[in-house]
Amino acid sequence: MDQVSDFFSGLLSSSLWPARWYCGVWTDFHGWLYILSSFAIWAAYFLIPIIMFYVVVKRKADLPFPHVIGFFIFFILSCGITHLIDAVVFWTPIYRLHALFLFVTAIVSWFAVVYLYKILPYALTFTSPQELERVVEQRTTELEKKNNDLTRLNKEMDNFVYTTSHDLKSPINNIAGLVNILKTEMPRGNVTVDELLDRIDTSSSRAIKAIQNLTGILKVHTEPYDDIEEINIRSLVEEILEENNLFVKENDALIQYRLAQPSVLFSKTALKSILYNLITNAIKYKSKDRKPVIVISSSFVSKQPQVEINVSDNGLGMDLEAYGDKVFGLFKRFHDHIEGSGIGLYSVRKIIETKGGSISVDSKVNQGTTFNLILPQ
Amino acid sequence: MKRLESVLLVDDDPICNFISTTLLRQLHVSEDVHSVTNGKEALLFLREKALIKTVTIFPEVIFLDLNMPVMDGFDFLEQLNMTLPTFASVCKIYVLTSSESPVDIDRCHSYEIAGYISKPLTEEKLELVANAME
Repeated sequence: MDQVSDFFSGLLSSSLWPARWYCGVWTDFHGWLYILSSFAIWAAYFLIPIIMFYVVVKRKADLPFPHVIGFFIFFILSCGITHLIDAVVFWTPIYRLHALFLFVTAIVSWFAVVYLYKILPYALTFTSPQELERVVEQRTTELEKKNNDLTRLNKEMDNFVYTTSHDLKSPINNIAGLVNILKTEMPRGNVTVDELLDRIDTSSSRAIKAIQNLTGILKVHTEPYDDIEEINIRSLVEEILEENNLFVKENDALIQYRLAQPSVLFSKTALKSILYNLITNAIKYKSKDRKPVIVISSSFVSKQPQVEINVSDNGLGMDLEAYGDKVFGLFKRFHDHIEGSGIGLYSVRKIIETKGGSISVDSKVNQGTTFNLILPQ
Repeated sequence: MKRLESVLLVDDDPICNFISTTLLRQLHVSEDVHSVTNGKEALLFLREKALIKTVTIFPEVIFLDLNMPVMDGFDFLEQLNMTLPTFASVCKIYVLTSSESPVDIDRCHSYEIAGYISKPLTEEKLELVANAME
């Protein structure tokens, strides 16, 4: 114990041994070879950890085994210091400090050995960048092939739907055409016959409408919507109102604007289709008790950046607790007293999602509904 | 409604031809209505008219279906365009079809057609066609 306490109390003591130059016979060449080499090793062992540390800091997230690198930095540093002291003892024989640093280096080295042994199985399975690249390449080829298959399949599906719709429509169109002719050929005044003909008419036009809806859905899926431009929201809404002038007037609908952001960069066909659906829905599902008022508002969110457009009405509203996300489902309808195909909101969501945006809905039964569109800019 | 001298219907569906013929006659748009059932027959019919010019005059309007056996509407347009590139100045071709495929519509518009009409032919559609004639 005495030796140990003596060792630490005189850690920097250099008076108990001669400086190395005077210990044995050193020629200048031999001594300086030893000293300069030791200094050079120390300098290199000092710089290596700095470079490694820089790499660790820069690539913290994706570097494998960061702990090993930490150990290694410490290990090299302490190795370097032993070499430094080894050179210094030529003048100042601090052999105790030398021994201490040798001890520290030994401990750190053994920690490194144990740790390396522990991660050995994982390190063996670790893929090299070249191997990774090869895997990525292979996966990419597979994906490309799958993608091509899907595109082809999609095209075939499109063709199938168009062909089927064509083949179904032809005979129904014929029925409609024949009924028209029959009407002109039938003697007038037979109420039963007229009624029957009208019913055939209604049935065939309903069938045609159903088929058109199907191809309409397909169009939503295949239309590229690439006519991206700066759209003035108010002008676009007014264009839609103008085109549906009769419908708007019939329902005595009032449109109000609160456009904090006047324009948006988006596909015009897409936005027109979306706003058309939302506005006509807002009017269609109006409350019987009040005049329909629709508020179109917009705002710019600079953080993302994105433009938010809201279409609010004071209409019937929906019980979202009950329907939830079904609002945007295909062929989902919640008001059976009003004509509808159940594809409007489905198309709206499909279109906006294709263009990287999103839509959400808030609604209260008998108070109104608000649709929120988020359009990335 | 304006009268058309002569009309050619190209459609493999006899009922559809029957409906169009009846409508054209009933509305007194044209008394001279011919119908053929595919593109090849249509070309033969036109060649006869164009060359001999005796039986009747070249049809003023052609209603052309797209999907037909033997020779479809596109091939007919292609052939006609090759043999008679100035066809648009002689007669107006309206594609009359049930197809709503954007591919079909795009392809039609690469030829000099006067319009794309979805079936069935009705009085309103016929009126637009007749009024478009100079």
